[in-house]
Amino acid sequence: MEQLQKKVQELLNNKEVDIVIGYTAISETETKPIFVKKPEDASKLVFNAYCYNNLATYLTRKDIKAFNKIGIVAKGCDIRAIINLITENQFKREKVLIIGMSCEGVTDPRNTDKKSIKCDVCKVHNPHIADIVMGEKVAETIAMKEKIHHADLEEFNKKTREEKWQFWKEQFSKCIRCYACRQACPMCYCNRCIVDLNTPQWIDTRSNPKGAFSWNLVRAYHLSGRCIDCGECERVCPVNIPLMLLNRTLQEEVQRSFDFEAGYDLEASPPLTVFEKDDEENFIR
Amino acid sequence: MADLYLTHEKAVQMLKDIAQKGIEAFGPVQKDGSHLIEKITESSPIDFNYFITNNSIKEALFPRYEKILSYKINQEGVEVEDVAVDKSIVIMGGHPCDAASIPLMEKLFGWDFKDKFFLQRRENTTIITLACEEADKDCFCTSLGYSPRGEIGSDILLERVSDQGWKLKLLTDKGKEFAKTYESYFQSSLDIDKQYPKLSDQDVPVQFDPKVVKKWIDTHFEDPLWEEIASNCWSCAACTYVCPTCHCFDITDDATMWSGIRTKNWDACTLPYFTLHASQHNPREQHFQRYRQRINHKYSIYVNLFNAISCTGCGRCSRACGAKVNILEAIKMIASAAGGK
Amino acid sequence: MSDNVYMPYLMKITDIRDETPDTRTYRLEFTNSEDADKFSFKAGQFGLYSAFGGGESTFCVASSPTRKGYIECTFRVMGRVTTQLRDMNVGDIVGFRGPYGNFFPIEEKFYGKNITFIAGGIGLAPVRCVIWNILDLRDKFKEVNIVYGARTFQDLVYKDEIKEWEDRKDVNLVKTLDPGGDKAEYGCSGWNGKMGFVPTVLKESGIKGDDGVAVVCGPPIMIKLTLPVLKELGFAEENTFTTLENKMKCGIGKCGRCNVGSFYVCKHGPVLSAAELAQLPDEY
Repeated sequence: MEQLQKKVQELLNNKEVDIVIGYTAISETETKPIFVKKPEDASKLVFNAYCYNNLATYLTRKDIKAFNKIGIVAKGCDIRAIINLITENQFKREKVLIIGMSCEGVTDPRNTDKKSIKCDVCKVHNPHIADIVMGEKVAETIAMKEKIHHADLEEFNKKTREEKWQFWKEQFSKCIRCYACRQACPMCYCNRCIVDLNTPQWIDTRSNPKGAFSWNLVRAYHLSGRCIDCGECERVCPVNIPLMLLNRTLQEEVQRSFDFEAGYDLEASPPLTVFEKDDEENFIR
Repeated sequence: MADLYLTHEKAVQMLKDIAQKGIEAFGPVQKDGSHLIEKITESSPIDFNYFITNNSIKEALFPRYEKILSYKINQEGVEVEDVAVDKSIVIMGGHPCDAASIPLMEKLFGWDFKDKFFLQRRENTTIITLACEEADKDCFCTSLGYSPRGEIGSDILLERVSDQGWKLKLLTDKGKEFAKTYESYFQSSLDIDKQYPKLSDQDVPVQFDPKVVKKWIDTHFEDPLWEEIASNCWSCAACTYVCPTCHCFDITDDATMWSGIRTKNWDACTLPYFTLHASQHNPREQHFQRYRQRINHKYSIYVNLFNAISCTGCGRCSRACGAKVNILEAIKMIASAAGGK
Repeated sequence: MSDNVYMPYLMKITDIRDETPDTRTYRLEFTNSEDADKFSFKAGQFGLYSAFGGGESTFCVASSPTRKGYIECTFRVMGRVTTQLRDMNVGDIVGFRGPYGNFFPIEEKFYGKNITFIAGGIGLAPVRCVIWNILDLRDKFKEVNIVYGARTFQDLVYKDEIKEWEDRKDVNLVKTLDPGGDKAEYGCSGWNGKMGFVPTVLKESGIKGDDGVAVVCGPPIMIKLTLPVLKELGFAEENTFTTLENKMKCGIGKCGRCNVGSFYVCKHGPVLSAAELAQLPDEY
């Protein structure tokens, strides 16, 4: 932590970055995002198992984009988000200074005695792409060697089709259409979201069954091949809808069909965002 | 009237029975690790072991979406049909900070043009409130003149006497009538646990003076402190929708060629396109301008219009915020900038 | 009328006029004569017009309250509701909720004064109701000046009425187009008005503000540049009026959309004086 604070102070003093996005403590078991512009404020930075936020979501906010060079404290999952944003041309690699943090995992936000299930399948406890790496190297885990399925999806897939339908009807009846999922997600950066268009009104804006299904499923589809499994959408949902079941299902589907996972390779683009003439899928010809 | 007590078990049965009668019953259910106020059905997992529900009771009186008229279009023209607002409602499970929001919202919905959808519903509603036995760092009802044992807006206050149930405090005629109608669910005694009541006003210390806060807001519209307060805000509507007093809405049509409905749906001033003009000019383009509007409206504008702060200090907005914007911290920053507490 | 404040009157379109390629004026009459008899409004008020199926949109009432039996609205095709409205024909039904908002204080402040109207583009619509209101009661006022301009000839609205005002001996009309706005491609076959931006033309018009009241409406940039000119010419801020066109939804002070500072445009406006405008936060 001290190492991080010193480094950020140095970066700001030398004007190597204009601003650093990081975490600061609210209490021993809670952190929140912080935007550090003055070198003396670097002492407010922390890094621990309660750093849930995916700070990459701020990289596409207008006021932040206006800065020339942005430093960002990032866990492996957050770095995946940054990489994906770069492959989608949201900003150039040189614009961000990635302070990669070796991370053993964060706790489950709803039950801080346990680790978050996303951390069990994580391959990037040690930052895969970064300008600076901090923290002690994390020992190799099984997930770094083999494909492991998410625990929540494994459990969910045991349901029958009818049970799944009833499950989602129940879950979406809670949806209040607050769009916290959309705003927390680093991949949701459209200037004008499809739900904010009204000519025509593609998606019902009401908090009714039609609206809730349309919204959540469209968002999941728009994320397919792009979701980097940070789980923020599920964390911030005020009514606890298990959104990651949708996103993880599509992650696995894209993996199966296109052998692709977002956010690992600066040279690769999500398959559903690009088209090459020699693509196997020829329906578009 | 003799003392009346209610157990959790009987309360669950009572709510379900009320729902069967064609009355809209709203109560606390436990779903996926949290408690929510929901419309009760036979299968609702009603539960009373909670500190506070994630959402407020406002959806009983101000639904997330509601039909305000329907119409048919044919060769001769258009036929429009009104919507009746005549169902009785019983709400149980909110805290004093929830009940106190109802008189606040009445002021706006009754301002010159009487919105029958809220006002008539309110007329037909009986509100049963659970006095608080717990408070956390995000609660600040006392700073606004409310109390964890407060009675404003409620018809019946349930004071916990043991882990099994409560003693009833009948506050209004409606409350007394309710107690009479449903007397079979109540009992005349219950084993008292001396540790209750656990919470009093002193346990929720006052943290700021709203007058000082308003004065600063009124004179510091362009102050850079707003950007600092709202730096994390990512402009969703989570705070607005869980808030018991936020009431902004949109009006939209949903129709086919020949028939349709017009509905009132929840909306939020924090969302990016709330103030977007047809010319594409957006007066509140930046996130902190929208957050400023939310605070300004609650702590100053509402006071100018109705002599009341549109906030009851429940802290739900702070708890719901994924970006960790905390309204109490924001108000305290303002109070401290104003040079007083 | 029911007790439902969101219930609209049903109006029949009785006349359609295309003002510009994307602007139309509709004349609307009540389908229910009882509603027609009970209805009245004052110049400056607005309403919510429904295209059933599309939704509601806010426009001022562009006709004068001195003309009974109908109301008129002028709108530019911008989005969902206005597109649906544009596709309607004479005889079709439009909903109307109103009149809402406040109105120009004609009796209190305009009687016996020189009245100057300054408008740009479609901004003439909310002003037109006041112009006709005043012309219908002409002898209650002293001088009447109208300064109206648009970007191009095509963008001028109420072209027939502009001619009428020009021909009247009791009205001083100054019309102008932005430089280049008189080309043939804009449908112009000879322009005998001024060339220049409205604030500039106003400055050079010789109109004085003594004993005068000004009514301004147009694009925000035009208003911002015109208000200082009016001050220079001697118009007092309390006697300079404009009408705000914020995004509105319910029209009755409930939905929160038009709220600016402690001002709800639908309740405290849309008409306000330059003095009141100066007190609002810059959020409109």
